[in-house]
Amino acid sequence: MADMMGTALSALTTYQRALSTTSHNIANANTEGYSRQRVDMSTRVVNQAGSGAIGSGVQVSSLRRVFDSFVIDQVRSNTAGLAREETFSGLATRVESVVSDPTTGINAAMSRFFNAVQDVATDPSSLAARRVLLGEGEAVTARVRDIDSQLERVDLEVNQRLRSSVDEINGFAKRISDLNKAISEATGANPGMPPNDLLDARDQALIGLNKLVKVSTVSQSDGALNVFIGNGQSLVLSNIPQMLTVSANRFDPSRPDVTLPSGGVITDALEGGSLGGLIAFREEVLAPVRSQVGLLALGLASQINTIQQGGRDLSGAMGQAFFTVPPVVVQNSGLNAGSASVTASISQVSQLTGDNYSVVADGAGGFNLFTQPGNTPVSAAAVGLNISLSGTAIAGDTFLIKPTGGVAAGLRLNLTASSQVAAASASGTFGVGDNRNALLMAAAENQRVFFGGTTSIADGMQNLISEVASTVRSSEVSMASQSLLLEQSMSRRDSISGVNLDEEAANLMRFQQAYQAAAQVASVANSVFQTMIDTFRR
Amino acid sequence: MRIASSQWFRQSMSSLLEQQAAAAKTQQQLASGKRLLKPSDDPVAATRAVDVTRAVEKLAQYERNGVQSENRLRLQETAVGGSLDVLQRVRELSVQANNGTQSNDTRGAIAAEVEQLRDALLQQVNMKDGTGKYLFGGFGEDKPPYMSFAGKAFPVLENAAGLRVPGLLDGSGQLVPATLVAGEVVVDASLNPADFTPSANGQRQVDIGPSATLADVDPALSVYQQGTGSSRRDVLADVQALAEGLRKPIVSDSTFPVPTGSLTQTQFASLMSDGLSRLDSHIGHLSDVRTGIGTRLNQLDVQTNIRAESSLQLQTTLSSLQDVDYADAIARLNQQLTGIQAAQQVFTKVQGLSLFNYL
Repeated sequence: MADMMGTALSALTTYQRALSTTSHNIANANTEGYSRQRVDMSTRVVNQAGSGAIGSGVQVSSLRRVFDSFVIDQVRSNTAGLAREETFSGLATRVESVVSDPTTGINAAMSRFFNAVQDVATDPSSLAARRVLLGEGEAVTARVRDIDSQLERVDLEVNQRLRSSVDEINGFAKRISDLNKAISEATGANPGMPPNDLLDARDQALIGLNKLVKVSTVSQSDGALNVFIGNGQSLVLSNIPQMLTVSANRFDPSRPDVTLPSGGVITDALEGGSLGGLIAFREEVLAPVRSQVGLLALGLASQINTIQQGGRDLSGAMGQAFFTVPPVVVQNSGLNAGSASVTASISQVSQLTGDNYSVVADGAGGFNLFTQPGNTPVSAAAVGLNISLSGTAIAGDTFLIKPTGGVAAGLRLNLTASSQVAAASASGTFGVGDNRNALLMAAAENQRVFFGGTTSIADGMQNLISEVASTVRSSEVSMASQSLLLEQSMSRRDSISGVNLDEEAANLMRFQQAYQAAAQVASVANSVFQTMIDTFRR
Repeated sequence: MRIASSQWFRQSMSSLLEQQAAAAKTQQQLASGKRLLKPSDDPVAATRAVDVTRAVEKLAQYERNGVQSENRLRLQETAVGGSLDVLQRVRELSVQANNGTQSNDTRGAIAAEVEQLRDALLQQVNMKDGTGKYLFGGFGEDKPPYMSFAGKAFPVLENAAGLRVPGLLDGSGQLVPATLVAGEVVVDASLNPADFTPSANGQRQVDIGPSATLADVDPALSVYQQGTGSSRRDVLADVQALAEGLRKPIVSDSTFPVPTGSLTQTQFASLMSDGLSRLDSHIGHLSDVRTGIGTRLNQLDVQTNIRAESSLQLQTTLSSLQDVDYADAIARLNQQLTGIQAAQQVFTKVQGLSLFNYL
């Protein structure tokens, strides 16, 4: 009878555990990242009796969460992928609206400018037409500057978000290392009984971290998880977080770089997550678009200036530059040991590509030129630049040249009076009604001046819009597919680990019945025992 | 497959949100009438649209250019037509004056009228357009192409310093600087002809189509002078010469010596016949010029038609690239709204189902 009572009691405690686990599941049915738990039951150790092995009840062998680590890995990596695309496409859409707006885009302003040139060509001595042309010239520079300043604002926002992302990543690293500590302690104290809720919390933290940046993990035997970032730089080693910092870019102090505690810059190695999206956006969309806008502005300005300076204005004097083009931007690396400086100017607009270049001093007064990014060696003449290095440079001193970097921000109208528009040709007898130079200016719109004489200003504007539009389009497509992938892996995860309330209701009934039955067994055992006592009492 | 309760919820929610987003986009398309809300909706079409929009704008600009040229060419047509009328009248008067019944006095009256007609010609060659520019001034449209000098009309020559002097046709058909010596206009030997060019020179070309240019108004010298080399003549000078000839008294051929300022019968007759034949060739030349203007106006008309046609074509293309197809969009919106409704109904139905209801 003692066996029977013991068996009944084991069932009562086991089903109590089962019932409370079911309630825990029901309670957490809507908890983000919760994995349903189940009680694994097994028979208790058999009592060897003379008549054979009689069972002695049930026991909880383990209380485990139902999960598939492969699926969870997929959820993590898809989370990182979606967060990247969301950030990227959100920002790219803003750039798209800046450059392509039909009324405020660069396109509209340039079209009106060339229309105004036509009006001057039709009636060159009309001061009104010339005034309109100056106004439209001013408008083009204002548009270009405004577009650049809007892009600049996006750039500042990206930098701000990059800084706060690093803070958040550090927060997650701290949290994961704390959880690692708690998990390895719990695992050590109670082997075979996994700390389910802590594991869920860590998985959730990892998903949160993946939203910011893609990481990889390696689990340790003590239950801890090491987290790696970028190209395998460690972010969490067991219970020690490696805090990232933000440092100033060596060329441009206003531009933040993500740095390891060791001082290594890992900005370009980071992928995935919103931070990966930010960095990719900065490198693939923002920087090229800004330099393309600069290149267009430079192309227009230098083209019109050349024609203008080759003609005669209303007073018969040779034309002056129409636009003021700012000088080429050269940035010194903060790490330079020497005192040298670099000056650069544009020798050939048609050779420019919109790329930036780094000048690396060889220490012997000379230097080598590389594309940036890319690091491909090039010659200055081949990329349309004149570069000179002056002062004392130590080998390895580096300078960044942005041929079109400052153009958009600094483009200004140079002419002040409408009579200064050089509509007349410099050849032949001068007359105020001469429109030959104005016709040349009007034709400049379709003159192929860029990229080795293959692309006109009009083409360039179209390319700019179409490139941005295709980038946005493709990022939207990958966002949709990432979102689908995430949805699929989440569904997989939910179908394995999620709580189904109907199932829990059924379990509730099942375990309740079993509990009632066990109680009944105890009651029977009790009455059997009572019968025996009564038998011997008489 | 096992379905978690939260999965139900999430899936129905996300499909509802997705459908709402799609309906909102359709609604925006309907409200704006545009299929492309941003270039990335269809980068290829959007880029084409930029191209086509610019082409349409350019056509509108060519239209503006064309209208301005047309106004000026019509003015030129009027001026040249007026000059032809004047020359016809001069011709009539000359024929009349050549009649033997005329006396010196009546010829003097005719001469006065011819001089007035010469003044009319001067006004026509120095005519201004609506904006105060000299129509026949060529590139030098801010200055009159002809000037009055010593009571006569001469084309203006100008040097680089802006010195303006009357130009006289020399024997080889070149305009050379002239000056007044003892009441006679003669070649000014103190000035180097090479330093001087006609004030009215150059002819503007105007863009009136993607690959069509049109010559604007002709400069004065190609209208009011004609011929090459030694046979180059100036209309105003020839009319002036006629007037001067008509003023002179005629004496009989036998008179000897011929008094200063008089002409013999023969001299007068040859003057008249020379004058008439020159008038005829000037009339012929001006008619040619007028025909030329007519041709150009015609060309403008043709270009206007071409522009209108290609503009229509481009507008159609543009519309197909970026405008919404209303029938299609409205049908789509209805479908999407039905979808949202269905998703909502499914959501409430499924969320209401639970085994707990039976416990």
